[in-house]
Amino acid sequence: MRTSFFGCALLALLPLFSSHAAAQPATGEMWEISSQMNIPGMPAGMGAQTQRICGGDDPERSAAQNKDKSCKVKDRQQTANRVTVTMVCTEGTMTIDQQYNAARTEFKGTMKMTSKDGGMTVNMTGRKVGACNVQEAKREREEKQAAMKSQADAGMAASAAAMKQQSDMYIKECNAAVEGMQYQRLGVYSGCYKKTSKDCQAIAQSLPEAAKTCSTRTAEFCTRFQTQDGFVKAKGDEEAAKMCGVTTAAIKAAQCPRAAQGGSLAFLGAYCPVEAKPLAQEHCAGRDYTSKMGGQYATFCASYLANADFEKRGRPAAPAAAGQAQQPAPAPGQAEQPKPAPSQAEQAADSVKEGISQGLGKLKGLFGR
Amino acid sequence: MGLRLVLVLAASLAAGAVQAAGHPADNPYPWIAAAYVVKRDGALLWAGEPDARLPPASLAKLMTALLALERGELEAPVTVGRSVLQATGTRIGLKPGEKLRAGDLLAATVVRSANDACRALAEHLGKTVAQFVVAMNARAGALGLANTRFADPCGHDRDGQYASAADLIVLAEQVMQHAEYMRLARLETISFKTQDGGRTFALRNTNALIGRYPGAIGLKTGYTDAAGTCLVALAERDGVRVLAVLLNAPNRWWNATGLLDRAFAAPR
Repeated sequence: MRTSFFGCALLALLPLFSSHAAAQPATGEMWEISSQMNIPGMPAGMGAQTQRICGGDDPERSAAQNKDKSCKVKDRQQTANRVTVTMVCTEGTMTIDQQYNAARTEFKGTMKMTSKDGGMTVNMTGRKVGACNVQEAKREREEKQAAMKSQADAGMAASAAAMKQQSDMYIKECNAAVEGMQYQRLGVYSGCYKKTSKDCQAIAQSLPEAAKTCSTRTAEFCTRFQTQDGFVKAKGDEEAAKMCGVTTAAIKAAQCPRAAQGGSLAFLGAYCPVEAKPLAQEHCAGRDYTSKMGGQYATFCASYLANADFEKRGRPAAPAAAGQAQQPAPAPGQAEQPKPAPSQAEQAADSVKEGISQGLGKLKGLFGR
Repeated sequence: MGLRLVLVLAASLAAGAVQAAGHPADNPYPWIAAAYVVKRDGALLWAGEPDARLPPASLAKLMTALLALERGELEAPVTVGRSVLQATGTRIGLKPGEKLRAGDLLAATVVRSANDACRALAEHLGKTVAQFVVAMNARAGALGLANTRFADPCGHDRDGQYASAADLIVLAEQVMQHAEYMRLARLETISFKTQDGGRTFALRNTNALIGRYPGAIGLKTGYTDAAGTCLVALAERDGVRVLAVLLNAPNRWWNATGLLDRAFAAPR
C-alpha cells in the first residue's frame, strides 16, 4: 500500500519544478532525484534510490490527469524558490515541500505522507541534468506503470491462489477431523471454537471461508463427540471435551445407561465398567490377550478388558509403597515379592479378569518371560 | 573412593530423571503395577513408585543387549559352552558346541527372551557370566542408574539384584538408540540357523503387544516368581512415541493396552 502511495507521490512531485517547460509540453526537464524513505519502526534510510525523472507539467493539471482520480490538490503555496503542495489522496494526505537554488537547477525537499497504515517521510535532493521529451517520458512511465501493475496483479493473483490453497487445506483437515473424530486435525480452529479473542478474530479474518467451514465442522464434531460412537472414535479425548465445553465424565454418565440398553458395545466395554460387568461376565470370561477373539462381543471384551481397570469410578488409590524407594533392595525372590494392587471387591480386576489371571498364572510356569 | 563419588553423582542425576522440572509425576493408576513410569515423546507423563527397587526379571536382558550392541561384532561366531545346560526357564534348546552368530543369540535374547541364548551371549561378551555382570553394573553406574544392581545377565531372581522403573526407562531409552534392537523388538517371529546350517530356530516374540496393539514396536517382557509379570512397552502412532515400564503388573497386557491408549490421548 505504502509503495503504491509513494509511486503516486513521486509522479505528483515531478511538475513542481518544471513550470518553465509548461509552455512547450514536448520539452521537459530531466531531473536526477535521490530519495530516502523513513518509516517509523523501520530502519532509517530504507529504500534509498536515485532515479531520473522527466518533468513538464503543473501539479493541478497532473492531479486532474491522474487517471484514477485518487489525489486532489488541497493547497498550493509558491514563492520564488519554494513550493509547498498539500494533496488529499484516497490513501491519505501528502505534503510536499521543495526549495530550489536561485538558478532552479537543484532542489531539496521532503514529502510527508500520512495514511491509515501509518506515516512516512521521504527526503529528496534533485539536480537538473538536461532536457527530455515529456511525451516520450510519459509513455515510458505509463509502460512502466502498466508493467508494474501487471506484476502487482500477478502477485495478487498468486497470493490469492496461495490463500485459497491454504484455505482448502484447512477445510480438508477439518472435514477429516470430523470424519475420523481426530480432534488435533481441527488445528488452530479447535482453539477458537466459540471464542472471540483478538487472535481468533484475526484467524477468522485471514481465511474467512476456512474459518466458517471449520467452525461448522467443529460444531458437528462436538455434537458427535457426545454420542457413543463418536466418543469411542475420538477415544474419549479430554482435550476435545474441553474444546466442546463438556466433560468426559458427564458424557459417560449420560451415555453408559443407554449403552447398556442396547447401545454401542464398544462404548459400553471401554467406558462403562459397572454397566458392562454383567455382559463381561457372560461373554468375556476365558479370553486372554492373545486369544483370537471373534464374534459380536470381540470388540466389547477387548475394550472392557483393556479399560475396566482405568474406568472404575471412585476407586481408591492403592496404598503407595511408602519409603520403598529409600529402602535397601528387598530380599530377592520370595518373602518380599512386590505385591500387585490390593484386591477389593469393586476393584478393576473384577471376577472376570481375576478368573483369567488365575488361569493364566497356572499356565505361566515358564520362567523368564 | 573416586568411583564411589562418581556413582553417587550419577545417582543424584538419575533421581531427577523421573521428575519433570522438579515436579513429581502424576500417579493416576497406582493399582496397575507395583511400579511404573510412562513417558510420551521423552517427557514424563505418569509414574508410580518410580524409584522402588524391585526384581527386574528378564528386563535385565535390556542391559545384556545394550552391551552386546555397544560391542558390535554381531557377525562374530559364538560357540555355545556347556553352561547353557544350566539355563532354566524360557530356552530355545541350544546345545554345547553349536556355533551361531552373536547377532542371532542377541535376537533370541530380545525376541524370545531365551535364557540359554542370553547366557551364551553373556559368556561370549564377558568370558564368564560373573565378569559380564561386573560389566553390566559398570554400565549401569555410567548411566546413573542408582537403583539398579545386576547379579544375573538374564534376570533370574538373585540376591541383591534389583532395578527401579525409572532406571529401566533410562536403560530402555539407551537401547532404543540402537537400530538393530528396534528392528528385532518389533518382529513377531524370527528364524535363524546354526552356522553349519544344521538346525533352524523359529521363534515367536514374547511381547504379546507386537502385532496386536496398533503401533507397538517393543520392547521387552519379563517374568519371574519374585518379579511378577513385567513389561517395557513402546508404541508409536502418528509420530508420537509412548514408552512405559511396568514392574509386577498382574494384568500387564490389558493394562498396557489401556495405559498406552491413555498416554496417546492424554492432553498435551
